[in-house]
Amino acid sequence: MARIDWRRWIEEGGDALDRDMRTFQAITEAPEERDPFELPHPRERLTYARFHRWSHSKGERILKVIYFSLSVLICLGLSALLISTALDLPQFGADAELIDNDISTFYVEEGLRHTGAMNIITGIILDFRGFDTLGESHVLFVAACTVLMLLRLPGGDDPESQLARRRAEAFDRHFEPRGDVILANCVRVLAPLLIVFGAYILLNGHLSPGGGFSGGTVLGAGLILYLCAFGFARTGRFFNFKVFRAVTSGALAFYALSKGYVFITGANGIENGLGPGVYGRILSGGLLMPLSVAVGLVVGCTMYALYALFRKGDL
Amino acid sequence: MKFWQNLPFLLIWTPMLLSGVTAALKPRWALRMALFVPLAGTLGSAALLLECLRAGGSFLYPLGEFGAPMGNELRAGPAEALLALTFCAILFLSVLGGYQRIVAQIEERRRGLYCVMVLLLQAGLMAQVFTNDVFTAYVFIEIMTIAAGALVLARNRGRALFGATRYMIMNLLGSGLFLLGIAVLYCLTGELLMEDIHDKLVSLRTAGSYARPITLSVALVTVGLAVKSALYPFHTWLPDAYASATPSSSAMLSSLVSKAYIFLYIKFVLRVWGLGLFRETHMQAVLLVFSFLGILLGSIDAVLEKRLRRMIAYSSVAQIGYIYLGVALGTRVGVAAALFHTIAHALAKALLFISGDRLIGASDGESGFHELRGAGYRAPLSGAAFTVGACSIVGIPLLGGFASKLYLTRACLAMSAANAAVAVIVLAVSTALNATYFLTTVITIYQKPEREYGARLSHPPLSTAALAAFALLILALGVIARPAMDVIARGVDLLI
Repeated sequence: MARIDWRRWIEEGGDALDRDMRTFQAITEAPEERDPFELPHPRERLTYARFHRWSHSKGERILKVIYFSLSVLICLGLSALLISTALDLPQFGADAELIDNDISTFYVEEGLRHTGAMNIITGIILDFRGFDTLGESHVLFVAACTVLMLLRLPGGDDPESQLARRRAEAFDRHFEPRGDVILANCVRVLAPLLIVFGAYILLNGHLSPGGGFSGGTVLGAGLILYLCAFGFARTGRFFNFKVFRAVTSGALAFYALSKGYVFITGANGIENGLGPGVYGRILSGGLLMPLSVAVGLVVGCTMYALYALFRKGDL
Repeated sequence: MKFWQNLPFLLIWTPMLLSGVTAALKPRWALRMALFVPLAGTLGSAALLLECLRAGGSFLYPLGEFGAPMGNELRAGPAEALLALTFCAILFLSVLGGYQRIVAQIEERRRGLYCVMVLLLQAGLMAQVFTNDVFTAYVFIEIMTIAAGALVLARNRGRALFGATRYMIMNLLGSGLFLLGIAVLYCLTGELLMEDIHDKLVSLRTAGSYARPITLSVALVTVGLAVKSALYPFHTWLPDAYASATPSSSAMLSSLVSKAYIFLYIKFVLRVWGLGLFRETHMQAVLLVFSFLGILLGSIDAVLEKRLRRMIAYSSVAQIGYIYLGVALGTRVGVAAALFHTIAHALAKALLFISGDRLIGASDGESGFHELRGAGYRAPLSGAAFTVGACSIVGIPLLGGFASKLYLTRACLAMSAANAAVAVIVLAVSTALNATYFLTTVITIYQKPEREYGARLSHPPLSTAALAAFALLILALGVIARPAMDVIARGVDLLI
């Protein structure tokens, strides 16, 4: 087995990042190699050396000052421009001629009748502008996939992957100490509450303030808290990579399929059989409730996955 | 509504649906998915183009039963269908042509996710082409930005990571500026659909109110999309990202991602602001200057470059200058020429990246020019394909690049005499520079090699066929330039 490097700094203590920085500096700030262009005449060499030294010491400093002051000036100028333009914009709700459009009136007056959502925000984001939200949930998906691609450690049995995993484990132990009794006891009370509350927000998204994104965030927060208190081994019993993949793929596929059904039937003038139902019931508003749940699951899983991947490189 | 009119929606929706499925597949099947879905997209958009030409007009597709302006809306016509066809075909051929490299350079645990990114990129491209709603455009810009960044960093090695970081920083800045721009537009008009914003802007302009915020929003959208499509002063993220990624990714980034942003910009110019406002805010003059700078300085950078893939990347900067030049003319003819150049350049650049990488592969992986001597003999098909791509970009007759430069020059001549003279001189100098760096490369790869080279990677025959398909498409575009230009011109007329 390969020599285990992490053991040293655990025993020595100290910050792993600091030591890595020292190695990094030793590599990057190594003395430069000699210039390949050998100048034949000593006077030429002297002149070259003078300019070379100038560009490396004084010249670099002058350039840095110029860049720094330019960037500050550009930032200030842009901010001033944006702020002054923002002052030129119409006051919120002031210019009646501008906001004279029937869209917002339609949403407020007719939204409930068309979508069956008591919470019209959910009606707008999941029904009227459902296509944008379909895109937004794929933004979360693509972000999670990218982080997965970048940070997930190899799962193989070869010594290198094993070492990488051990190192990540050691990092995790170093920065996130385990067995904190206060945290564990608080989370025993809080985590179930958070998860139930998240589920409530998801299921009631079309009736009360909330919906997919907010409910999913609460769910994800509950999972993250649980992970903080009890560690990867215990969380992995019910939420591991396979569960993550199945839930995210399933929820997205359900979302895309149901929106595809609604859009195609809507555009072709076919009755889709999803009436608004009885206002205020939990099973009303057509597909709004299942869609909220699907969005919430994607959001919650993404939040948890981002946290876990940044912390240890695995779920 | 006829059945084929569902095609624009299906072209966006199918890759999105299948991306979630692909994430759960094994890498081998995921790669097949990444080939199959763009191929299906190619067939679908070809059908859409034929039907659009037969129906002879454009149509709107409401998303949801309420339709616009309550919901979102798509719009398709000949120009959109032709662009969708080009994008899907290039996506398919890029994945196919770089297949061997994807397998070799991307570790197995990342390969499945790479395919997910390809599918999401396809969805994003199709959405940019067909959307009629500025906020939908922004949502899919986000998807495209992240997916394209992931395509770069899939090859998890030093230079590629550095390139991906730079790419992300600059592109997120661009997205932010674009978002600010459409936020100001929304604040002024309260609309998100392109025609509706245009109508309100026209009435605001006749009333003479809010001139400054309107100008600022035009500038913000212009700078945002210029950063994202690497117009000259904002191009610094480009060489590292293009030169270090796996060749399929470079081909997709240079020929698809930046082109989709340019098409979105063309839609802003024609449909949201209108050519009148575009000229009045002087954004046209600003773009004209930057496109001249880009054409010249991008070419000079390419001439100075000592490595093949970075040279091809810098040549993209110059070519994007050409496209913006067409847009900056502010005329229908100019925009049509810009769209033609978009297609010609996309085909040639994807071919150059993929065949150039094969030439490097045949030279022990060395990309310096002195090492590439004789690569054309070691990999004959790649050498021939590279020659075709290079000749197209230089503008040798019979190839796509010649026709596009001709149309562009003709569009420039419509300007005032002084401007037209400058434009023609810039185009001539840049063509000479293009010839300097591309033709010397072609000569280099057919020179006598200095040393012996080791064995080269073998590529599957279908993958080599992709290079031939690219070369044939470039030739076809050059031969049927007139009918293709007619389709584009009709599409541009319908866009206004």
